[in-house]
Formats: sequence, structure tokens, C-alpha cells
Amino acid sequence: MADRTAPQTRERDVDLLFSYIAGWAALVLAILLIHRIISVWMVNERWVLRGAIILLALVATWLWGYGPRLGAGSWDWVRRGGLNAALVVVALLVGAGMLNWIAARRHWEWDLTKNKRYTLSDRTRQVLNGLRQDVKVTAFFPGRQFRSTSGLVREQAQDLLKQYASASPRFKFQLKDPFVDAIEFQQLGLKQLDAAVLEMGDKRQDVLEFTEKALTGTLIKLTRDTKRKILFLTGHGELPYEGMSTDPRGSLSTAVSRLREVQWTIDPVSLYGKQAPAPDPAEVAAIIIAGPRRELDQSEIKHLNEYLNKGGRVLVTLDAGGPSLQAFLKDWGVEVGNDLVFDRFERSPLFVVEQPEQGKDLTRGIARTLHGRARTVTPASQPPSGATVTPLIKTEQERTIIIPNFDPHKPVSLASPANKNESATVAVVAEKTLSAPGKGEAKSARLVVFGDSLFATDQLVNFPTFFNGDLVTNTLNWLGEEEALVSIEPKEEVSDQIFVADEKLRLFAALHLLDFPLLAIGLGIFIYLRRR
Amino acid sequence: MKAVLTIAEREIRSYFTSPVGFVVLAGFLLITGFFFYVPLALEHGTLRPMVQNTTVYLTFLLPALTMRLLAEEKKTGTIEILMTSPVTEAQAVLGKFLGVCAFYVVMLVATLQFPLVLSVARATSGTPIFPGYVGIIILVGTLTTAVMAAVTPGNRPLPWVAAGFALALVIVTILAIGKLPESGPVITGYLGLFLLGASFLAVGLLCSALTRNQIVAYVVGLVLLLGMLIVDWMSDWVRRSVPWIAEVISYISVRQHLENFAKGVIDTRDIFLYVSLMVLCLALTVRAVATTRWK
Repeated sequence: MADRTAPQTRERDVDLLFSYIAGWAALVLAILLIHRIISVWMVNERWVLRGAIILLALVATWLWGYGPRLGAGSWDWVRRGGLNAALVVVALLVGAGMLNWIAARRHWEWDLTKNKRYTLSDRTRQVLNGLRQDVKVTAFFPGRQFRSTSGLVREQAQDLLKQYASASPRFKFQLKDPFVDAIEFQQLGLKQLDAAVLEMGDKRQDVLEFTEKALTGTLIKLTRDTKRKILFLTGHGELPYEGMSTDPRGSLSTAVSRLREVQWTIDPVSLYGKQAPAPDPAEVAAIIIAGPRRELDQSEIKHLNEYLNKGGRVLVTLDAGGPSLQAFLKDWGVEVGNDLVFDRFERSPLFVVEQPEQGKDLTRGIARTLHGRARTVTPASQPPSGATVTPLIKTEQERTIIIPNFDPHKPVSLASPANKNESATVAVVAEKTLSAPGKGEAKSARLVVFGDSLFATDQLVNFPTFFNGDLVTNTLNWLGEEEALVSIEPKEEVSDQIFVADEKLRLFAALHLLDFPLLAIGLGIFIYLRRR
Repeated sequence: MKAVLTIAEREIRSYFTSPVGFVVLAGFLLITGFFFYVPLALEHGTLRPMVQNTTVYLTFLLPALTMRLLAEEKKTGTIEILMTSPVTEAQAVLGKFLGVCAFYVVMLVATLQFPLVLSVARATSGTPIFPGYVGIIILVGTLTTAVMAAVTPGNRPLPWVAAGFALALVIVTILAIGKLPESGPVITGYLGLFLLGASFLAVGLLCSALTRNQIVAYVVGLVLLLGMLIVDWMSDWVRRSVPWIAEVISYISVRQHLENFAKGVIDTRDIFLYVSLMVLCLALTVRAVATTRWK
């Protein structure tokens, strides 16, 4: 009996050895394959396929030798409740995964920040819900080497992009480093390091400012087929709107770059002479007359009136002591005062307007604006038929002095009895319906007149905590009937900037890095000794 | 429920009477203090960096709290006494989890000094003895008294811890919250820290249930938590090849889900992920303990 079974046992041992070697080889090959798949990510699929076939053969050889043992072991494992436990674990994992999958699709958010800065406006949500195609966003931010300058921008932009992606499955974004993905960055031809490209089908728009208004503006433009522009009237010593300015009043370049950010095209225009081309409201969203130093010519007034009467939009900003453009504005029910608005307390022509005429679309969400060298502009007592003229910005009565008959070449007398201590209207809105309702789509002409140009210049638009830039973009968006953009309220930054005196900082360092940890250790030692 | 609370009280008392609890508390205060102080020195008065960086050091600290919970019971054989007593596996696991969570809450409450310090730092005129410094002294006094009372024989620790927690919240709410530019991110930050910490503790408890060696429990817990932390970096790596896997990886990253809390936003997805991770790990722990009983 022993003689008969010995060769069989030997044979069995050889089989087991063979299976044993095959098992180890399978394990090594599996590790190599996984390593290969991860490192080249299925680049050479044929190589992976061959490897997988060899692996299967090795596993089969291993099972041929160890199959019976494995079967007995498995049965033992099942009898001891192993299978049951494994099934419970798998069921729990699958259940948790499914619940999270559902939770990811139906979720609610509560923004507890003071100004709800992580909540998208209703208009943005409408725009996102209206997307019919995927929008692919590639945003570039420099990495650690530039973190000091762009870290905050990157964080804010990432927060904003996440909100958009969370609100619409069609909005997809990825963050890249212009130095790591330098070739792609160069191919896209972006003008600055912190920038993003939005692509929808074969259309593309660039974003250089990461605000909700700019991003939603870009989305709107991306989904639109036609492109309208804003024209700056030239020829009267108007404020420059591009580049460095030699004008002592400053430049509008910051406000204009913000308009470009919300996707407006900006061009100059001259309306002088009969040969000048008449602007068409279908192409021209608005004409801006920014701080002219000379009165308009009759031909220009004629062109402007024609443009307005076809449904055009005009923004006029004046200055105290400059031309009043009364010849043009009186036909639209706007009266311009020959005066200067002065801040009584600061004794300065620079004044702050808190909460300007809330309730109007143009000033929604605008907490305060800064103005200077302003003259009054008021609704005429008898506006032309069909036109409504309403005040847009009014100063506080207590802090306002209106100095009449202002002459920039003469000193200002604050003690003059002719001065008026009353609230001054420094901006008005005129609107005129051009076609009667019921006869097709009603058109309207819109005119906004500001008594100062200074509020739109670089120095005041860049002034922190004031909303002058938002006032400019809101006005132009409203004039151009980009109501969706107007209704996106600017969000005031809640600054975490804090200046702590050195002695306080040393105290805090001692408190946090020494006192509290030592107190915890001391308490532990005290309790330990007490218990002993 | 009484059995659960009894086990929880036994656990929390053991933390207050063992060196491990106070070493972890001191380490936690030192590191959170560092991440609060550095931005403050750089003129940023905010808790956001402290909350965001917490993920990393909780990964190292919390397994130290949980490593002994079940592993030690297995090693010393007291698990058999526990298993033969009239408590279910779920009650035992839940009691231990509540106990370690209560200690973690004490750790978090000890950092409520930061809002008070911010209110001191923001004060622009005079010496801001009140409310800032007075608040810190009252807070320290409250916590010390609560801990001392909790470890005094004859006293039940949980009511004392709860009372200390409630009083500390009242102190901070009255003395600091109104002085801060916005209180929302402070509240959500602490909520996020609690949920993140509780889910980490559940992972650590599971690791403790799988072995009888405390060191192994700590290392396995650390590796698992580190894996959950760095999984986020992998998402960028696979995004180009398989975007949907990147989405899944990104979703299960515990660090990503803390971001919203740190900003001041409460999202049900974030709460759900932490709670489901907690429930999953506790259920697996119950299963692991039950297997021990049947063996």
C-alpha cells in the first residue's frame, strides 16, 4: 500500500511545487502589470492584453494545484461565517456609496456668510439652467512660486468656479498652472497668468476677472449669436478711456476694462458733420459722452436724437464748470444746473453717497459710491410727452451745500448766502417709450445723465470699499438691456485684514504656543498626582 | 441607552485620567494655536486656515485616541467580560464612540479661545481687557472646572462635560461673536471640524476592533486616514484619463468636503459624506466585535 501511494504522493508534491511557482509568478506578473497600467495608463494595450493572458494561465495553473485546498479552506471560511461577514461589508459599502450618490444629486446649501458671497444670484442660475451644451472652462493660475500674489485670486476663482459647477452639470472646469501647462497656455494666447478660457462647441470667450458678474456675462455672450458694442463719443475733449492719461481729471481705463470683462466691445465714434455714420441700435448698445469739455455740434445732437429715437441708449457724464449739453438734454427732460455740489462736513467737492436710491435696478446692491466736482442734474418740471425722468443718485441734505453760479476760475465761497443747503440730485434716468404697446415689440430710448465724470475715473473706481465700478457696469448693462447682468449684485468683500500691534502678537504667541498647551499638560499632571 | 452612557462615561473618565488624553489635548492646542497664530501674524484675522489645516494633524492625533479603545480590551481579555455582560455589540461600540467623541468635543471647546482672541485683536482702542481677556480667563476656568469635576470620584463625567461645553458656548457667543466681522464661518468651521473628527474617530475605532495590538491599530488608522486625505491628489492625476473616476475620488476626499465648512457654507453633501463614513465604520466595527464574540 505504501509502495503504491509513494509515487502518487511524489507526483502530487511535484504538481504542488509547479502550482506554487506559478502562483508566485502570477503575483509578480500582476504587480508588474498593475505598475505598467498605472505608469503608462493603457498606452500599449496589446502589451497589457498579452500580459493578462499569461497571468490568467498562471492563475489557472495555481488553481490546478491549490484548487482543492482552496475549496476546503473556503468552505471552512464560509462555515465560520466569513462569507456572511464579507457580504455584510460589501452591502454596507454599496449602500453607503448609493446613498452618497443620491445625496450628491439632490442637495441643499446654506450660505452663512454675511453677504451670501458663496451663493449665486438667481440670474446666474437661470443662465446656467439654460445651457444646452457643455461649457468647458480651463482656468490658469500660477502655482506655489507665485502664491503670494495670486493665491487669493486662485482661491476666490476656485470657490466661484465650484459654485457654477455645482449649480449646473453642464459647467465643467479644470485648474491648470501656466508654467506647468505652458504649451497649452501659449496656444490659448491668454493675456495674463490668472485667466480662464470658456469654450462651448466651437465658440470661445476669455475671462480675466473672476467675479460672478464677469463670469455670467461671459456665459451670456457665449450663448449669444450676435455681438453688440459700446461707443465712446470723441471730439470734445472727453475723458480718455484707454491707456495712460494726460488729462488731469484722470482716465476711464479701469471702468472700460471692467466693461470688457463683462464682454462688451468698446470703440470710439465721431458724430460730427452730416457725413458721419448714424449709429444703429441693433449694433450699438450704447453711446457714452464722458466728461466733454466743449458743447456738442448741432449735427451731433441730431445724430444722437435720431439714434435715441430708434431705441438707442446714451450715457452722459458732466462736470461742474464744464459744458452743460443743455441743448441736447433739455429735449429729454433733463435740466443741468450751473452749480457745484460740496460736502459740508469734509469741506470738499468730493462726497460719498450711501445707499443711492435703492429699489432701482441700476443701484441694486450698491452700498456706497464716491463722487466729486459734481453739478446738479434734475428732472425737468415739464418732461416731453412719453418720457419719464427720475432721480438716480441724491446726496444727503445735512452734508450738502449747493454753490450756485459756479465758475471754476473763481474761489468757492462756502459762506455765501446764495448757497443752498439741500439734497442735490446728481444723476437722473430718462426713459421714453417709442412705440405703442400692441403694435409689435415696444421699443424704448434710455438716457442716463451723471453730474460728475470723476466717479467713473480710475482713482475712484479703484478706491476700496466703494462701488463706483459696479455703478458704471450696471449703468451700461442696463442701457444695453443686459438686465441679467444688472441684477447680479456686487458682493462686498468682508476683509479679514487685521493689524495687530507687536506687543499683542507676542502675547498671542505665548498664549497659543506656550500657555494653553502647558495648561493642558499641567492639568494632566495635577489629576495624575491627585489620583495617586 | 443607559448602558451606552455608562460605557461612554467610563471611556471619557479614562481619557481625563490617562496621560494620552492630555498629551493629545496639548498637541492639538499647540498645532491649532500655530495655525491660528501664523495667519494672525501675517495680518489675516480668520479661522479658515486653522480649519483647513486641521485635516492633516487630526489624521495623526485622533488614531492615538482610538487605538486602545478595543485593541486593549482584546489584549487584556476584558473584551470577554464586556461581551458576556448584558450589553449588545452595538451598545458597546456606540458607548466607546460617544466617549471618545465627548473628549474630542472638549478638545474643540478648548480652541474657542480663538474667536475671543480675534475679538481682542480686532479691538482698535484702549486695552481690551473686556471682553477678550476676561472671556479667555472665564473659558479656561470653565473648562478646568468641568474637567476636574468630571474626574472627581462619585461625579458623572458626561453631565459635567456637557455643562462645561454649554457654558463655554454661551461665553463665546456673548463675548466674541458680535465682535467678529462675520460669525457664520466660525460656526460652520466648528461644525465641520466636529463632523470630520467624529468620522476620523469612527475609522480609528474600526481599526482598533480589527487587532489586539494598539500600535498596529494606530498605524492602520493613520494609513487609512492618510489615504483618505491624499486620495484628493490622485483625482487630478487620473482626470485626464478617466474623468468619472476623478469625480468619484474627488467626492470621497474628506479634505474637499471641509472646504465648504471653512468658507461658511453648509452643504448637505458634506454632512452626508461625514455621517455616512461614520455610520459605515461604526457598523463595520459592530460586525468586527460580533465576529470576536462568536469566535
